[in-house]
Amino acid sequence: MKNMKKTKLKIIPFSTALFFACTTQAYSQIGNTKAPPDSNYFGHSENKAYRSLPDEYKTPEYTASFLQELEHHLSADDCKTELMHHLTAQVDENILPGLIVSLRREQKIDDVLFLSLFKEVNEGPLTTSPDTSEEPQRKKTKEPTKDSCDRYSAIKFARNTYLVSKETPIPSEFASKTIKKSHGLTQQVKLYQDFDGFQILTLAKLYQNFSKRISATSAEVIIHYGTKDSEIYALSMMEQYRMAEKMFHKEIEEMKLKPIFSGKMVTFEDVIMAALETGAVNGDQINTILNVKELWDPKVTFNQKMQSFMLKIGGPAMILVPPPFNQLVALGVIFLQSVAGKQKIKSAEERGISIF
Amino acid sequence: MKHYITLVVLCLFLSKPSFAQKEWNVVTRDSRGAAQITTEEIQMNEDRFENSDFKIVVGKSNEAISVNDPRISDETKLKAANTLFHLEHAKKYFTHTVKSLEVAKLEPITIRLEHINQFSDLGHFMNDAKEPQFNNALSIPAGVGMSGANIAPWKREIWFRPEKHIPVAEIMAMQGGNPLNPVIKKVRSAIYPMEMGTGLSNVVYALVNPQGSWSNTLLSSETLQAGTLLLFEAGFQIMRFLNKVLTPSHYFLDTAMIPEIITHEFSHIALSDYLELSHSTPVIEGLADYFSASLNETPKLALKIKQYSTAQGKNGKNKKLFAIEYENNRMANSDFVLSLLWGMREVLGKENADQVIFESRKYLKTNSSDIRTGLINALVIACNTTCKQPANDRLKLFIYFEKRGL
Repeated sequence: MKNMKKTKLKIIPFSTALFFACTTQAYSQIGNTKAPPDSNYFGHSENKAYRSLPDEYKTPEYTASFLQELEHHLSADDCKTELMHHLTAQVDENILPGLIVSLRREQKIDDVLFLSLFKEVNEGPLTTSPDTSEEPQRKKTKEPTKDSCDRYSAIKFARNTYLVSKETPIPSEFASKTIKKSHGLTQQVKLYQDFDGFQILTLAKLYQNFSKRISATSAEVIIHYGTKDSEIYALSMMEQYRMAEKMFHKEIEEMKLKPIFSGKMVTFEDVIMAALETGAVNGDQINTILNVKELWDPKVTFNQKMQSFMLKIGGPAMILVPPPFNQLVALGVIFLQSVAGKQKIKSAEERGISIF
Repeated sequence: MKHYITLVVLCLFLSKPSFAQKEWNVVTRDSRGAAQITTEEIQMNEDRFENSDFKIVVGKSNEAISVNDPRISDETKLKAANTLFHLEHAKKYFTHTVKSLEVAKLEPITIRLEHINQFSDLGHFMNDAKEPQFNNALSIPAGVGMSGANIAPWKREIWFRPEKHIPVAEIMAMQGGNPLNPVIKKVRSAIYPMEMGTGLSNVVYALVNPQGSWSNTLLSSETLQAGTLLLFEAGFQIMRFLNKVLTPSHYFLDTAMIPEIITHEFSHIALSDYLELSHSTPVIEGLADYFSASLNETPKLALKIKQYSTAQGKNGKNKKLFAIEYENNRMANSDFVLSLLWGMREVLGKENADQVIFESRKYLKTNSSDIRTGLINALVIACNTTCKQPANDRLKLFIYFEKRGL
């Protein structure tokens, strides 16, 4: 029974994200305060977000192709199909209203979103048509409005057109995991809440750049001396990898200063989620990619914290504890220092055997 | 015409040497990894230690050891059976598991037991007057010989030296004394200054506070400090004594009796299509160690076999950090590369790791590939062509190498 509950709860966030993306009221209340004013969000020349677009996206050819693609995805039928597909595939029709109520009771969603979701489910309950096929269908489905699909469609467009992977992204637990200090939002919902389509594409591009850099066949550092002389240092594979990691970290930090993000906090997890959503990375790679952060933000285990604490109090204790017991403290400190020294992995750069 | 074909087939059949399954005692490992003598079937000639893949000879001889030769000791025959058994096992692994086409096409390899001559790339064997070799094994490259000096061409061979008992004290003296000394020195340097400082501060305290029975207090505290120092010193001396008692008195290594050494040497032969047998570098030795470990299904090499060796052995589970010293050819027999490669099994899976590591030989250079650039580059490039999910597996490898201090 416990397992059942867990499984259901894992499914909820993804469905919630879809509802969230396809519900007008919820979007304007819970989502980004910068809700798109109309469906022509990306093509409007006066729009603030559009003004911050790099020039390469402002060419007439690009705008025309984008609009054409967007119109296709913004059609009500397409959005409805997407919604129906995910709901029928992942959530039982009979438990769906209950799940939404439980979400509200657990304060995972606020009242506005709850009402809109509940209304959506109750107006179009899922049923199996006895005479035509066994495919579950809605008796009466509320048509999602055009602008409610805008954001989700923009992401879908990005996934389908100009990012690397044409394969269907594999779902990941990372996307549906609830984030701490985020009012119970999942990583996926938080991404849609915090960033618009273009921003998500920009974040995904960061990961793509990192991926390309670590796949490069070689990398060199060229030092120009101002004369005709120059020095070329060929990086080893590990130096190349660490350089790519550091560049990735730097670019994430710098992203906060970019006008298109206007001071928004961009985290490593946001970038990875954007890469996952846009198909730049698949779900089965997520666990590996999340370890990339270890270089600049290493995990500290409980044991390491305890060792650090004991070492800090060990010095004063050696003086304060009367002899001969202070010898025991000294031995304990020596032991901890040797253990901590072994556990702390100094990077190749720190040990002088690598330049990155 | 029919009779003619039958005759030809019959002649061919008769001309082919006949090999049979023979039962011999060999050294194997039990479920806990300890050495044991078991009886195993060996594919060999009726009365000689020879089959289509290997020929076992003694010293400089070119004749396979005869089972019935009274001049050959039972111990040497046991070694012959043991090497033949493990070499066959190694060859099967490379042809069936690693699927090496080169190994499948290998010429018959001559195995020399109890061979003490040094190797000469011009004359095959060095002069008998040169210093004899003991306690090791080596694989030698093929040579063209010298017709003028009556030296025939030879093909790739594996040589096993006889064991020789050398007093450990002699080896320690050559290496600069007891390895326990630096440890004791480190602990002394941490404890003694602190004790001295406390004793001195007690004296100063007593001198500036002359009230009361300070002499008694000072005496007792100083006695306590001195006693503690003596206790530590006694502990160090006991450690030294125990170390002396527990360390074997003699060093020896009977290479032909140790399964992992036999398979290690064959691994050199299997890798020699790209990595010549002329050099012993940390990378080349580490690769041979890995395949020896992989085909024996254990990361522990030449351990738990005290009857044939008092050498330290190698442990592939020892996840030590990379240090620049491991690049030195004098450290070619350290187990860092073995443990680095063995750890890749956890990252890529056993079969995938085997394939990537074997493929990496194509991107290595015999004498110039080091660990941090040559080996890592080769493994990453090999992963591009051999890994199941190259992008993901490559990233996993980078993260793993980073954790190993590379």
